[in-house]
Amino acid sequence: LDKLPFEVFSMITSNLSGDDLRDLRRSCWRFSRWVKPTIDSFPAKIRSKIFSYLTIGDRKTLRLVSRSMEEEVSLCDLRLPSNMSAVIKFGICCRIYLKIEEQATEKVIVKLVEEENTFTEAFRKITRIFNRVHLETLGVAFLPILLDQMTGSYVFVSSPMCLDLSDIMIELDPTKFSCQYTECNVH
Amino acid sequence: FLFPIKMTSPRMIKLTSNDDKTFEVERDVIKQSVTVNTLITDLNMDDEDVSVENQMAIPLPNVDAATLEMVITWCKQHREDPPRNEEEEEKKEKRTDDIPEWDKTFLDVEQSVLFALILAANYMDIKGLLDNCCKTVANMIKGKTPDEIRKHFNIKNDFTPEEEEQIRKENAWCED
Repeated sequence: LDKLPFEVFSMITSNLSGDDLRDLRRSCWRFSRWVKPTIDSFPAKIRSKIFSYLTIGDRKTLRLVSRSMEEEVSLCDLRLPSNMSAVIKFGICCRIYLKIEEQATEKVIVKLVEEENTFTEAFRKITRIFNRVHLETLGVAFLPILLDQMTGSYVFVSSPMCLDLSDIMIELDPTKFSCQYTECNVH
Repeated sequence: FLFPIKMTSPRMIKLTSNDDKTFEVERDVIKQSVTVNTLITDLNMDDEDVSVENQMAIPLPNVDAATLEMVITWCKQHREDPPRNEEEEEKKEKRTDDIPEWDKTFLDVEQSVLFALILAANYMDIKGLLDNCCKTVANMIKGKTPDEIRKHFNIKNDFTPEEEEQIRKENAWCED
């Protein structure tokens, strides 16, 4: 492939997905120069950083752009303390799931790895399945775990969830709650 | 009495791009790159009393010369910036209207150049540059329709009309 003229190479690669292009760019020096970076071939960490600057409205729009964007862009940002272990995050997701759908017949695949946006991703998948999360239930599910994990940590919320979570958080420790929802009229 | 004043020239560091171009940059300027800074410290390069000619160049295999030149320009411009407190930065409200004027002009480049700069800033771990680049991209997305975003970033619409409708329904739960 690297012996082909650039024009032919571009024709071949024009149909590749963002992930494929990223792999190709990494595979050899020549490709790293030929394959220009695109927004959907950025590492997930960068994409989630860009999306974190968007309002809910812009995120909704972005989710309509393509499959990869729909997969990637979450409507809710809930940054749990970074010192929270993956096991605890998994526990939170399971609790939310069980509270929302008591029969637990649906299979929710929650992939958890040690990344900042792991919970957001899991939450997004849950919201996709159930269409609407019962936030009051969510709060109840959070409480015991947050109590255990709050020492020296902050909880950042940049979505309408701030309205529901703030009550719980402020009751626990008002200094540990930070609302970053740009369209919020309350905090 | 006249005392001889010893003039000390700033310590220089050599960086090599992936297309084998070498740049000399002041130690004080490149300290904004956590990656380079860590390498310099780990290799005890600060302690060595070697001239820049005899100094080992730090290879940056993920950055090309044109991008590295831009990164160095940015670092020179921001050399006097106070050190960032990441914890404080995290707590700040997420805004995109606070990009400094100089950066706005500097980042007003072709999309592929901006994207290469983002990847370089990420690899070299220059948080200020990465933040401002990401804010610039976020500003490109803001206020556009799905179709405008596709055109702007050259993204193919791979949804069927039914799928698109489904996404709209799913999005509806989250009120603006």
